[in-house]
Amino acid sequence: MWKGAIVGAVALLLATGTTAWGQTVPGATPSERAVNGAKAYLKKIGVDRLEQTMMLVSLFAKAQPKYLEEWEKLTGIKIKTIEYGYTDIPSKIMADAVAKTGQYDIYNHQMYMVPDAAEAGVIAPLDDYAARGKPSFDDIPKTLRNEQYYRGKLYATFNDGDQTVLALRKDLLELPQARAAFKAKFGREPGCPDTWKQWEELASFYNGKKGQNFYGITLEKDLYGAQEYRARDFAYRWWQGHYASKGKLLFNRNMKPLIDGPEGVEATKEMIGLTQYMPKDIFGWGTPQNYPFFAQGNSFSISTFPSIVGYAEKAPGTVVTGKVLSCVVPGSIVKGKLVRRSVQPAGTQYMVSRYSKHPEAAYWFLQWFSSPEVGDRAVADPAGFWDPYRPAQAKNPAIIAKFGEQFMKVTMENAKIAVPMIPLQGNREYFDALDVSLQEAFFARITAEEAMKRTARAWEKITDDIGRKKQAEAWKTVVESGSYFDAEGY
Amino acid sequence: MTRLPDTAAAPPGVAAASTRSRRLTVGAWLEQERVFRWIPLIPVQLLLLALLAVPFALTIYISLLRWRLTLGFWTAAPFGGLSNFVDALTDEVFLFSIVRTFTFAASAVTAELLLGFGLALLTYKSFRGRRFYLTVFLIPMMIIPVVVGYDFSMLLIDTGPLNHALSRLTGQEVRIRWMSEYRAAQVAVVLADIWQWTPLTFLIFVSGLSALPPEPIRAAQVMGASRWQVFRYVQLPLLKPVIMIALVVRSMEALKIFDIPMLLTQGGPGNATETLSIFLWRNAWVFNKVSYAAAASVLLLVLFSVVIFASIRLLQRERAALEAERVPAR
Repeated sequence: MWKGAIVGAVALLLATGTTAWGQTVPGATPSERAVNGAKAYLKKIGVDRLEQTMMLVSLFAKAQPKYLEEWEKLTGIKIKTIEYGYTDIPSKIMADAVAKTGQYDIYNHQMYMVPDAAEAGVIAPLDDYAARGKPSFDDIPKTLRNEQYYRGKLYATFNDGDQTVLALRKDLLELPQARAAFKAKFGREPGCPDTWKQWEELASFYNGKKGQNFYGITLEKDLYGAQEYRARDFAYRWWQGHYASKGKLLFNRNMKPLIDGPEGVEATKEMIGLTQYMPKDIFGWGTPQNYPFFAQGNSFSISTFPSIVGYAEKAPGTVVTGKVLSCVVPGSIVKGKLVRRSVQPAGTQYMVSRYSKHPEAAYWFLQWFSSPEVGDRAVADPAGFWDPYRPAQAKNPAIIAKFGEQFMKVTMENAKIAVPMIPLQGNREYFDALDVSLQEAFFARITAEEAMKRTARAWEKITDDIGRKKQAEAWKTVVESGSYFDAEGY
Repeated sequence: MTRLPDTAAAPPGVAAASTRSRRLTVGAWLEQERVFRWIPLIPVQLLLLALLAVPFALTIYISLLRWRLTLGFWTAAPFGGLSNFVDALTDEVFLFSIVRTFTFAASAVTAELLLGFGLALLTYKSFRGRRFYLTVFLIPMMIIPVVVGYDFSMLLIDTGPLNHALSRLTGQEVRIRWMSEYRAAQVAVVLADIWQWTPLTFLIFVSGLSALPPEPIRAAQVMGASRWQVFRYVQLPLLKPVIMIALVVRSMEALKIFDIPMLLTQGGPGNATETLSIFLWRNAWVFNKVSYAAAASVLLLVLFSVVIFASIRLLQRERAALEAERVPAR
């Protein structure tokens, strides 16, 4: 009888693929394993249907449901969504850390949310599930892949390569008279810039007033040379791209900020320099204002999220269809070498609530949705805002059809050189301190040097407040994982 | 153990009499009007006290911790004593937000009082279509502040109706960056607040002006006082308590402003429009520094209490002065 019971138990374990011993869930692909894992989990808890809840970024309210329906058909797990604006979600997640409601099983937000949520214990580490489900992360560029982890533990999966891109107006670049004049003035052909200085030169050149004869064409409206985010809650993101290209880390090993050195001042001055070629309203603009402004032909160049390219092609009222050239982000010359660093200013990801009644079921959805098979479909989805990030996506016909070959090539380059936004606890406080100083510098109320000094002082205070030792340990993990490549100063 | 009767110590008859007299005293005390008036209020007062005292005590306690939301529940937070208060009092951002908020409140409330008073003077007497004007003037007050913030963000965009109107008026292109330049953004927030809350001061003043006793005004007119003199020496002094009420009510509200600057500028550009409420919200819910926000709010409570008590004293003084004037000369 005992023998029979043991044999039965073993057979059941093998049949369901559940693993007291941590063996891999059966399935040829990550998505197949996710489905099998989910089914086995339902079997284990003795139900054939389950309902879960996802806190969803409202931007995805239109595109996400079809994948949730598909997941339900495949597994019997229904995931209903509650949508919020992405700016509201962090406080809701942190409130859940205190209230521990268990109302949500999955949180959808952006990469920079991971450290605070992990420290608050509101999200569950996923390593044990991943060990059995074997998700496919290997082909994701290393620095993007790292953003799923905090202090060496896996906390999130993502499906959105939101690394910055520079877009230029191809039609203006191709004006023969302008090309000749630009070459005469700057000694090179106009095109994608290698350095921030070269971008500023382009911005200063491709700039004009309404009615002006601009190298053979009459400008129907004012033409601004550049757009890059300058509003509070945005500018700091782009600053990190400028700074990272100087080959310097944000902190040393003791969490002393390095941004008040020449590299930080230079990054700030670059941004101030470029600002003079931007519309004055840029200081109040987020994406909903920046995108249409570029698409309506008001500016020559924009450094923004990669979705600008698709938007500029198809947006209502666009006048730049077929006229946009995507570029790898500009960089800086460090020790005689060109260093380019895009930044990941957003990047939609998914986390499992520690207070979920069925965290394992939630994890299987994460693995399924971010798998190459399903994730690529989402990236190709015309209604979605998931951007490409896996190298293989550059060969996917559906994704190429959506984004265009030239953009795909460029965005993959940008993905390879993407850096995270301070992946530490309290990052939003670090960001804001930087942001406010930058604003003061943009308005010439303080110098770039003073802006960086102020930020460094504020950062020291934040670090002390959170706990220097703790932050230093987390920072060590970040630096050692290569998230900032070979940047110096540690 | 034998229990002695209560009256054991007193001679027979005396104890009974004293109990009776005590009962009578309590009865008589309860029958007093002032006592009878507040006894029914005790349950409500206790409920209110509980509703206020518990969160207040919790706020004080939390302000003495070093609680960030990243620590999870507040029981996990270390004790920090007065460190949050020290941090707040040495935090430039906090101190500047106090200055900014008081400056904002002073400018907005002054304008609201003047405008409200002016409009009230124009409309407090009966005239044709008065009801219509009163209704129109009160509409902004009925609108939810969030909607006001959004409406103003639409009005104030660079190419929006306000700049267009100003361009038409001046005959040259006006491009004020209402939401992205320091001073302009501050003015924009004040403008939105004035638009929304002038109706309240207007309503208070209309009521006040309508309720003024006609005798002193008529007496002044009979004695040959001009319109200005009647206003300056009769109406205005009589309206002082009403003005004080409008001032106190609006100041307390203006010091708490959150929604309009949040929707218009999110506190920016830089910190240009970061009011105290935005500062507290940002620290508690964006930076997760709940203890720090609690300490800052306790400091503000102290500051606001000083302002409110000063205002109440002023009101009381005004009332006392009025009462004194009403006492007939002997």
